[in-house]
Amino acid sequence: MSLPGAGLSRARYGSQTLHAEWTKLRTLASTGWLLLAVAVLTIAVSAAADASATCPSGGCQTDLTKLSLTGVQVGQAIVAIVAVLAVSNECSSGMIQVTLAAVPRRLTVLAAKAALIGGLFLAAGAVAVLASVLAGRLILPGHGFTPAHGHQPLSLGDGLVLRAACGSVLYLVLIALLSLGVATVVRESAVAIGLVLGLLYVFPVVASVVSNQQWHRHLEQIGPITAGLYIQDTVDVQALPLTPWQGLGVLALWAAGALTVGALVLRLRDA
Amino acid sequence: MTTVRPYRSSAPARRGDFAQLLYAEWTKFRTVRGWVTGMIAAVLVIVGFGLFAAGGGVKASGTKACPPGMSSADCRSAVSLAPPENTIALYLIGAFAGLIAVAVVATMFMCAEYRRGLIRTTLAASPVRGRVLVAKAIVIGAVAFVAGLAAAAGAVIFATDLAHHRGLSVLSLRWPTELRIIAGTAALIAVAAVFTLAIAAIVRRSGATVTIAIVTIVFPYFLSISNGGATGVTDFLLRVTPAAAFAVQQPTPQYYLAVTSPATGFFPLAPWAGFAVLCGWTVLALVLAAYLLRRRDA
Repeated sequence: MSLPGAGLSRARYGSQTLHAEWTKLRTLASTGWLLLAVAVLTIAVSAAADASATCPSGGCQTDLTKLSLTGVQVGQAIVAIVAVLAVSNECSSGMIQVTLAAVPRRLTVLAAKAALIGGLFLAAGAVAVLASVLAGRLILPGHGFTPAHGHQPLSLGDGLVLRAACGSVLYLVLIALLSLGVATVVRESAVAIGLVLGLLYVFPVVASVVSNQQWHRHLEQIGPITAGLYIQDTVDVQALPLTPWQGLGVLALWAAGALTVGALVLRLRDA
Repeated sequence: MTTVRPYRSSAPARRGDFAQLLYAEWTKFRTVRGWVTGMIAAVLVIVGFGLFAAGGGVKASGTKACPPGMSSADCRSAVSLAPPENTIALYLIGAFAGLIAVAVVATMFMCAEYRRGLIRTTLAASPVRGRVLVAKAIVIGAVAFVAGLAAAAGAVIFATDLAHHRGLSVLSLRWPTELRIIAGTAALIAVAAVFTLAIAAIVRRSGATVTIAIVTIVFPYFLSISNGGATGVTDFLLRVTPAAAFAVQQPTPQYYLAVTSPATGFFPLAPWAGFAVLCGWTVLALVLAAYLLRRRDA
């Protein structure tokens, strides 16, 4: 008796695994709703933040790009949940054993899941971020952020805005991969969601009460949210503790670390 | 021919003793290692962050920037009114992280029964379903209160010691205020655990439960710290969501200079008013949970 998929080439094996994972994800009712929730929440919170800002007399130092992307901070919570559920649902129902029986190369399963979740949020994130920037472009001039006050309307033609927008999409993808890695390690959805959200929130909160400047700086440099969101800054970029892309790199390291531990554990542990 | 007599317990027949139900739920809690570990982790996290906050403070109190449009004399008097950086409330900054751990345990305490179908055994043993919910709420609330009290008292005592050791001044508060901050933090964690339990009984899925609990209790608190810009939105959220209960940690009355945010130690609601908001949500969730538990098939 041969292993399932023994006669297939590596590429064909990979694409079949990908297809299987896609079917699982696509046929869950919750996936669609949660993706919609990511986009709607991100856009709604961004628009609310735009609407609550005012600049009546000019001279405001507000970072309009960052302001109009505020919703990403809310959307990321839902992103984390979708990514966690993609793994933990299978573990809690025991279906992971069937999956691993069908695809004995366990790392292929994890890679397929990561690729799918990443791709899904690349698409959903792009929609959410583009709409948020558009909302900023439409709403902000009505609140005093006019060319007369020294604020050009947001435009993706502006290199800084484009960097912030693309970076925010990548940020959401990396948060998803980080969550996927954590969920692969702990397997229980409640624990995984608690851990991911705790990890995301802990650095900004602790940094806010530490008055020692050096500690404060280091905490912001290593926190996944704080460092990752430097990518949204377009005003006074030189004053940041890291450059925007370095900051996103820190988040990428977190995601890579979580996925590596997840892969190791998946490989070594009984399912 | 012999007739088979069905088994009857020799215990006298009576309506189930509520104490027995409590004891059963306590046994369930105590014998799952992960939940006990989770509670211990919550305590350690709160104490650890308290020590971190005390260790990361600077010795000279930092100068505060004057808001534009305020004369320097006004500003100086306002700054001298503003509290020093260190109060014991600062050392309870880990409460939100400990609360996440407690919320996860409270979720599992309910959802684990649905996962394995054991809820049917529980309800067969105690057919008056509302009583099961009440027993579970009492057990998880009591455990969370004890853990929260140990954590808050430990964090305040050890962190104050560390701060004095480093030569930092800690604003001394009157003892009723200190008691309110410490016991209030424990009560916040306990009621939040009951709130989470009720949500778990309503939605019955662990992922969704923990998400709802964290997003309603912790997220507004986080947002008001991390986001200096949209204070209108966060002020509103800290009034209406269960996160309002963090107001029990407010150390001093508010002066006009300070922005309301947990980072400055000021909240839009008075301490017990904020706590009452959480209690209101918890009662609502419990009533809905009891109704659904009675109406739905388990």
